[in-house]
Amino acid sequence: MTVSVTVEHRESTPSWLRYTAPLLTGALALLVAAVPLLVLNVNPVEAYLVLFVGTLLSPSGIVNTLVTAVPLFLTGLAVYIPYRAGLWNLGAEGQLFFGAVAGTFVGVNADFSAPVLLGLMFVASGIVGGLYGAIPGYLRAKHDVNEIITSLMLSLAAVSLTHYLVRGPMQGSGGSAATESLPEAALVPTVFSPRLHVGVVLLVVVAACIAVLMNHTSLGFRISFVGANVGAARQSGISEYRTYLVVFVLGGVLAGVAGIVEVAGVYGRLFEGFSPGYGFTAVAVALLGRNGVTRVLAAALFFGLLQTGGSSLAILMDVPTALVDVIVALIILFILTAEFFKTHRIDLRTGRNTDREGVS
Amino acid sequence: MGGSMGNHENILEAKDVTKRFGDVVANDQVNLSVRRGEIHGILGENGAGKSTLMNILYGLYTPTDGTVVFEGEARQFASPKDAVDAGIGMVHQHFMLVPSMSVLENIVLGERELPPGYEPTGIGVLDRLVGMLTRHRSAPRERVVELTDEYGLDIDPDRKVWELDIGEQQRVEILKALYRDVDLLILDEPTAVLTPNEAEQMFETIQSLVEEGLTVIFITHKLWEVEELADRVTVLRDGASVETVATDGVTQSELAELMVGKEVLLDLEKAPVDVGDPVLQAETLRVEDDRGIEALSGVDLTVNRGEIVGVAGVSGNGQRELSQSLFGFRPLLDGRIRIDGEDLTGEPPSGFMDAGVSYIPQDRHEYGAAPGLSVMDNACAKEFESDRFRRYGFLLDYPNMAEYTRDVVDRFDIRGVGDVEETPAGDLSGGNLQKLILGRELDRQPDLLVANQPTRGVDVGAIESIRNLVLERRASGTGVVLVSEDLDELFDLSDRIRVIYEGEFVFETTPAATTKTEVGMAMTTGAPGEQSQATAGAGVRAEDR
Amino acid sequence: MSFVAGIADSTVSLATPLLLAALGEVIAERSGVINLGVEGMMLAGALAGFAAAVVTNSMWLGVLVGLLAGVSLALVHAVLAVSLNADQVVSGIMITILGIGLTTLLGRSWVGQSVSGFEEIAVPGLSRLPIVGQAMFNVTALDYLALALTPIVWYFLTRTNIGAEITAVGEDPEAADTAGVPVFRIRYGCILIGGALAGIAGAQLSVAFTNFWTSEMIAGRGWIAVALVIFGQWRVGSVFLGAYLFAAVDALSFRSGDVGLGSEVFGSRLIADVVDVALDPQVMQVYPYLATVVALWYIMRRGTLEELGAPNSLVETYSRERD
Repeated sequence: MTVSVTVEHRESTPSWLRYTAPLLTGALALLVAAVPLLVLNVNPVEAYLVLFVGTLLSPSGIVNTLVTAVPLFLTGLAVYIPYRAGLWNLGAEGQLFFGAVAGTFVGVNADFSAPVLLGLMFVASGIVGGLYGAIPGYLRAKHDVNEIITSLMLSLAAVSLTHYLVRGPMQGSGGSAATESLPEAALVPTVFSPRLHVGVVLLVVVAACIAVLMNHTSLGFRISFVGANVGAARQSGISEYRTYLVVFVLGGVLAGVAGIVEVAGVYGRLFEGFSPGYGFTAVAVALLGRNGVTRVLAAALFFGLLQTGGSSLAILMDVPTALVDVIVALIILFILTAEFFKTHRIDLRTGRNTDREGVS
Repeated sequence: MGGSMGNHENILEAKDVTKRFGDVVANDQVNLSVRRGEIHGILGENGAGKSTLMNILYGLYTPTDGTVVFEGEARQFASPKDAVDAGIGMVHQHFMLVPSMSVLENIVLGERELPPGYEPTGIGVLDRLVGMLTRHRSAPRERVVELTDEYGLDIDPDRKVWELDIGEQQRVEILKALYRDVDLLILDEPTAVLTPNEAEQMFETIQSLVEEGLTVIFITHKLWEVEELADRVTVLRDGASVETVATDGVTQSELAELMVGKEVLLDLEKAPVDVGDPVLQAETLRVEDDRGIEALSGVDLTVNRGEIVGVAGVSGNGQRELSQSLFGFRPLLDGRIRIDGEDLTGEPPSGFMDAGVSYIPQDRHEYGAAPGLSVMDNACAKEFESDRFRRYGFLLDYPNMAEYTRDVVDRFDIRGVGDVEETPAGDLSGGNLQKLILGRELDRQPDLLVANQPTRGVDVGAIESIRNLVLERRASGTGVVLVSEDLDELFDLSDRIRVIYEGEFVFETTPAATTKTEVGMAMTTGAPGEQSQATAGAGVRAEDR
Repeated sequence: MSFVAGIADSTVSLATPLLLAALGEVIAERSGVINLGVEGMMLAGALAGFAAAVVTNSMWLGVLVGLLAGVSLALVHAVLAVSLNADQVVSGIMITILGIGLTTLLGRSWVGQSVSGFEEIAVPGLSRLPIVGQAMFNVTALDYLALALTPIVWYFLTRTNIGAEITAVGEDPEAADTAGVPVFRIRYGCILIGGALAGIAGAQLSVAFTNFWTSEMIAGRGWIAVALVIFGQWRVGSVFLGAYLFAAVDALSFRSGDVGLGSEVFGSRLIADVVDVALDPQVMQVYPYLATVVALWYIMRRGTLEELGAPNSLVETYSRERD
C-alpha cells in the first residue's frame, strides 16, 4: 500500500481554524507536556489545576502573575517592535541584563532622595539598554550584518559580563555572586502586598504608549510599512536605515527598563540568576502577540501565570519549574505548525499509487 | 500526431494548456507544436504567457489543464529533473547557477558521476553511496571540453561562475543542458541580457546546436531575431496562442501586428491642452542596472506642463532604470535632473516627492504597494506625514485618513474594498490595486507624473479609467512620462512618443505623424524603417540614429 | 604538569564538544538551514547519553543514545523548517527552550550519579612528545573521534558529489532544484547529521568529561558552536581552529586565576589591572561571542559574503511553486 500526501495552498484560512487556533495551540501544548509529567509520576490534571486554577484563585498568585508579567511584557515588546519592522531581536536578554547593571550601579552609588534616584536608575537602564540594542540595529542598517546573529551573540556576551561584574567589581559584601543591596530609596515602592511593586503600572502605561506609538503615530506607520514591504516603503520616501535603528533602540530601552524593574522591584539587588531567560521567553511572547500590543500584553500575562503557577507547582508537588519551559516550547511548536495549516491544506490518500509530490 | 509512433515529426506538442494562478489566467488553452530539428521562435509581449508556458514544459509548474506530448507520449513532469531525464533542457532568463562554484561543478551538479572504472554492483544502496561519497571530475571534464569544442562554446571549466560575464554564464547554462544529453533546448529570452556582439555569438551557437541534431525553442520579443534565426514562430498574446507561421512567408510588420493584436476601442477623452513650461529637464542621464551594466547611456528628456511624453520600448532597454532615476530611486552615474527648474540631482525619493513628483512603479506588488497592509495604509503611504492627517501635533488622524481613503476609493472607482481600514491591499484585483496606487499618486496633484506601464496586467475596464485619469491630470497641467510597451496606450495618450532602444532614444515622433508599425519596428530593431537588422547588425543601427 | 601542558591538555578535552557540535552546525548551515537549537540538542544528548550509560554501564551505548536524542530534536526542527516552511530562527530557539526544559524536568533523578567514563588511550611514541604528547595523543576515544571527524567532514563537504550538492542547496535552492538536486531530502539529511553530532557532543560532556549529569550543564557551549561556524566562515578548517582557540581561552580561564598573570608580569598597575580584568575567567567567556560579531561585521564591510562561501539562502525557506 502506498500513502500519498498532497499539500496545497489554501486561498484563505477557514474561519473555524482562525478562531480556534490559539486555543488549540494551548490545549495541544498542555496535552503533550503531560507526557513528561506522567514520566515523573505526577497526575497532569492535578498539576494543571494547581498551575492555573490554584494560581488564579489565590491573591498572591495573582500578584506574582502581574509582577512576573512586567519583564515578560517589556522584553516581549523588545522583540515585537523590531519584528514589526521585519527584524529579529534575539538580544532582549542581554539588553535586560545591561539595563539592570546600569540601574543597579546608579542605585547603589548615587545619593539622592527616593523619586530622583529611582528616576535616574530607570533613565540609566533605559539608555544603556537602548545603546546596547542600537549595535545590532546599526550594523544591520548600515552594513547589512544579520541582526539575528549579532543580537544573539551580544546578548550572550552581556550575560557573561554581568556574571563577571557581580562576582568582581560590583560584588556586594555578602560574598555571593550578587551586588550590594539597594538602599531603601532605590527600591520601587510596593502597595497592598509586600510583593506588589508599583512597577506593574508599567503594564498599562507602556502598553498604552506603545499601542499609540505603533497604531497612531507616523513612526508606527513607518515601522509597519517597512516591515510589510521594504521596497514599497523605500519608494514612498521612508528611510529603512532610520527605522531599523529606531526599532532596535526602542526595544533595547524597554528591555533595559525591564532589568531594573526586576532588580529594584522584586529582588532589591542584582545577582547572577535574576532572569529565568525572560529575553528568550520574550520570543514566544512576541510570536503569540504578533498581531498587536494588547495581544503581547495578554501573552505576557499568560506566560507570567505559567511562570508563577510553575513556582507553586515546584513547592506543592515537587515538579521542577522547567515544566514551564517545556510548555512554552510546545506552544511555539504548535504555533509554527498552525501557521502552516492556516495557509495549506493536506490531503492524505492511501492505497493508490499517485505521483509523488514534495511538500511545496 | 495521435497514432504516429516512432518517427514523430513533432518532438513536442502542447495541447490546450491552461495555467491559472489564483484568479489570474497566465496561459489560456495554448497550443504549440515543435518539429524535430527546427528552431522554433516564441514571440509575445511581456505578460503574454511565454515564460509560464515554458516553465510548464520544464516541470516547474503543473498545468491546471491540458496535456504536453513529448516524443509521442503524453507527459506530466513533476520536477525539472523529470523533464531533463526525458530530454528537455532549459536556460532561464535568470540564470540558475551557483556563483561560488566552478563552471565544471555547475555543469556536473546533481549528476553524481561514478568513479572511472567503477562497475555498478547492482546493489542499489551501495551504488548510490558510491555516487554520493565520491567525486571524480576527470571524465566529466573531458566531456565538457569535448562539448565546448564541438559547439564552439569557449569556456574555462575551472573558473568560478561569479568571475564570468553574462555571455559566459549563458554558455555554462547551455553546456549544463548539453551535458545532460537533451534533445530539446528551451532558451528564455537569451539575448535580453547580452550585448550585440555576444548576441551574434549566441546565434552562431544556436545554429550549431541545430546542426548537431537538437531542437531549439527560442523565446523573444525582438522581431528581427525571429526573422534571422527561427524556422517557424508561434505568437502568444494575452496568455493564448495566436498563430504559428513559417518565418519565410511573413514580414516583420505582420509579426508585429500579430504580437500587438487588434485595437481595443476605448472611450478616451483627449482634449487639446496648451503646453506650458518645462517641468522635467533631465540631461545626459547615465545609470547602471542591478547587475552593474550600463542601462542608460546619456539620455536627455524634457517634459512640459500639460504634456504626455510616451516612452516606447521593449522591456529591458533601460526604461525601468529611466523611470527609477526620475524619482531619485536609482543613483545617477552622470547627468542632472531638474524639476520645475530646481536641481534635484542626487536627492532621495523623498526629495522628489516633496518637489511634486509622483511615481507609479512597474511592479505593483514589489514596489507600488504593501499588499499585507490595509487599503488605507497604502492610500496614505506618501501623505501620512502631512499636516492634514495630524492630530495634537503628533498623532495620525486615522478617522480622517479613513475618510480620505473612502473618498479616493469613491472617486477613483476602486472596487472590492470592504472596509478601508481592514481590507488588505493585496486582496484587490490587479486593476483595482493599480487604481489605488494611481489614486494615491494623482491625488497629490503632482507637477510631474512618472508612470511605468500603468495598465500592464489590468483588465479592460480598469485600463480605460486609468488612461482617462492620466488624461485628466494632463488637462490640469501635470507633465507625464509614460513608459509603456503597449502601443495603443502610447498612441492614445501621448503628445510625443520617444522610442528607447538599448539605453538610448532612437526615434522621436508624434502619434499623428507615425504608425504603430513604424514605432513597433523602432522598438524591436532600433530603427523605424523596414530595413532588416538581421543582416545589418549593430553597425547600421548606430548610423540610423 | 607544567602550566602550558596543563592548558594544552584541558584545551583538547574542552574542544571536543565544541568541535563536534560546530561540525554538525557547519553541515546544516551549508545546506541553508540555521539551527539555533544546538544548545537544546546537546542537553538532550548529555542527559539521554548519561542515563543510558548509567543503566547499561556501556559508555558507547551512552554515546549512541545521546546521538539518537540529538537526532530526534533535529527531526522536529527539520519538519518545521523544511516541510512546514516555519521560521528557522523561532524553531531553533524553541528547540533550545524545549531541550533545557525537558532535560531539567527529567534529569533530576539522574543528578548525583556518576559513570566511569572513557579510558585515555595513549598513542605509542607520540604521547611522549613534549606538551602536545599528553594533550593530543593520550586522550579518550571521543576526542580522537572529533579529531578524526574534522577531515572526514571536510572531505564530505568539499570532495564529494553530495558535498557539492549541499553547497548548491545552501547557495541557491532554486538553481539546485532545476539541476535535479533533491533539495528537501538534502536539507533534512544535513539537519539530522547536525543533530546527531550535537547529541554526541552533549554525551561527550556528561559521559566522558564530567562523568555526571547536572541540569544546564552545556552552559552555553551550543551557542558557542553556532558562533564558531560564523566565526569560521562556514569552513571546516577555520571552524576546527576556532574550536581550539575558544577551548584554549576556556582552558586558560580555568587556570588564569591561579597565577595572577597581570600583576606578576607587568609593573604598571593600570596595565596590570587591565590585563587581570581581560584574563578574568568570566570576562574570557565573552570573547567568542564578541569575536563572532566582529568577524561578521568585518566580512560584511568588505561586502564579499558570496566569495567567502557563506550560504546565500541561510534562514530563507524554499518552496517550489510560489505565486
